[in-house]
Amino acid sequence: MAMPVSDPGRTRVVVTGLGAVSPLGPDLVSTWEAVQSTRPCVEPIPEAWEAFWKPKSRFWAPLPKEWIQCPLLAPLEPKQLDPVSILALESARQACSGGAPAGRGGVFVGTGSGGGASRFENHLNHLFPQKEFLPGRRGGRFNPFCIAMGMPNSPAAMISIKLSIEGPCRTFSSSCASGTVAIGQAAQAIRSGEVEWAVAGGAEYLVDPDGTQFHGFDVASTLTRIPTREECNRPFDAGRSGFLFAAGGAAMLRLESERSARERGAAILATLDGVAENCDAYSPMAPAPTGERIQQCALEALADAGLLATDVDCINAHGTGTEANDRIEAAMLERVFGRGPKVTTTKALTGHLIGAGGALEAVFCVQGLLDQIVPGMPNLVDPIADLDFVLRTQASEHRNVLKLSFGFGGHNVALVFTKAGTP
Amino acid sequence: MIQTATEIDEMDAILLDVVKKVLPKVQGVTLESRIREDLGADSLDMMTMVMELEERFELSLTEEEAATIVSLADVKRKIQQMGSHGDAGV
Repeated sequence: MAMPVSDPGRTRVVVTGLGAVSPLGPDLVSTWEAVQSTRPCVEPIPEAWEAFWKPKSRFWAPLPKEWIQCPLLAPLEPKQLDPVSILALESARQACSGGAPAGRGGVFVGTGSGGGASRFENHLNHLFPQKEFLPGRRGGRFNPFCIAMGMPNSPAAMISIKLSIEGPCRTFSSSCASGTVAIGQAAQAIRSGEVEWAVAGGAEYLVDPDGTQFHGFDVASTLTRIPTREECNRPFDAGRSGFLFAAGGAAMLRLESERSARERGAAILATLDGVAENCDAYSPMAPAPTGERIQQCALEALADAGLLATDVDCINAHGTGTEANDRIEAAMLERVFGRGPKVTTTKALTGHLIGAGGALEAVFCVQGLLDQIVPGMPNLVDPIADLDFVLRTQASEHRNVLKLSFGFGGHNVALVFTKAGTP
Repeated sequence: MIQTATEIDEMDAILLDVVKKVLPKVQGVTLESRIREDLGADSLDMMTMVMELEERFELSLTEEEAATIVSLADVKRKIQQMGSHGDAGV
């Protein structure tokens, strides 16, 4: 299929920094090390949650114990923030190490739930202040910072405040596509000249004391119901039954105009040449069965990058492990790309970080281009489509990577990353 | 209740430590310093301080009680009235 070529005079967007806090590790180095080893994170859910309902899903991907810290925060500040803001700030700090660009910067952060965990907890403290409402379970003090903790824009605001980024500071909420949407929007702002550089990505924290948010996904039958730990997370496999819920995490990219990066001699990690976004306009919780909009989204991102489907070497798919997503997405990939590119989904290793998922996967796309490595999906034994799925993380020469993310509500977004140094 | 000199010293140390954490740039803090007027605390600082004092001394202050705090000495009197003597491990 012939596609139009992107505007050759357009400002090119490059990636000059990466940061991550994920179930695989408290920083990018440890997270990427786990990806390189094809080492997934899967643990049994907390037993305490089972006092409230009988979960259909028994496993999740928790955050590592040492995650909850950021050296930019004063000693008492963590008590005034939802963990989602700490995650966002720490990953932004990592992405911005090594000197700031000159020129106007911006912050573009996606989150599905924002400070939802704090809202749930403060609601209990409001109803039962210092009172036992279940055996062994007391409401806590009503936190006077509850409004700022819960508001969805807190993660973006904290990045602006602590890193002194004074341009536009925006929050995007598009469910599981949130972080990817934020990255695409930041790229558009750099192209338009609105900002010279940006911190862009996603953050999510879905742990509340009683498992309320897990319960919400569980009751909707979106989570894996496979009873064995080693086998429960299996995107694109015929035996899949839902996604592995991740406790949270955050991932940020520092995006910059190519001109800015070259002028200050910054290392360019990859270019972000293709961005597209659309909506299924179909259902709040189900993907449109035809897959037409996600196909259009992928092709528009490629056109934006001046590429054809045959130019794509690797796809980091949305690939959640739900019956519907994987069926519809795999059919689309088969139609458009066939066995051309390698196909992976890193949710097979990290679980599904909801609004932070696509941003973390974008970080993996860039790190994979740098190291020429494609992450694997260790539990894929019975693939549902004739695609070149990657089972173990492997070295593989590649130049163009397509990242796809789809969210509840029908939000679709596609990004194209290209190896640094490609004309 | 009767407090030992050691307990009073520990309480003072905790009170001063809380102020130091909330207002790290302020020097010369004493128990008699007026937290707003002399130390420059704003309403967010006061909220932070009250939250931290509640946690460290395992007490609960109403909004009305918190609003009457002028100095750390006021806090100390309140704690002594409530019979708490704080977390000495700090």
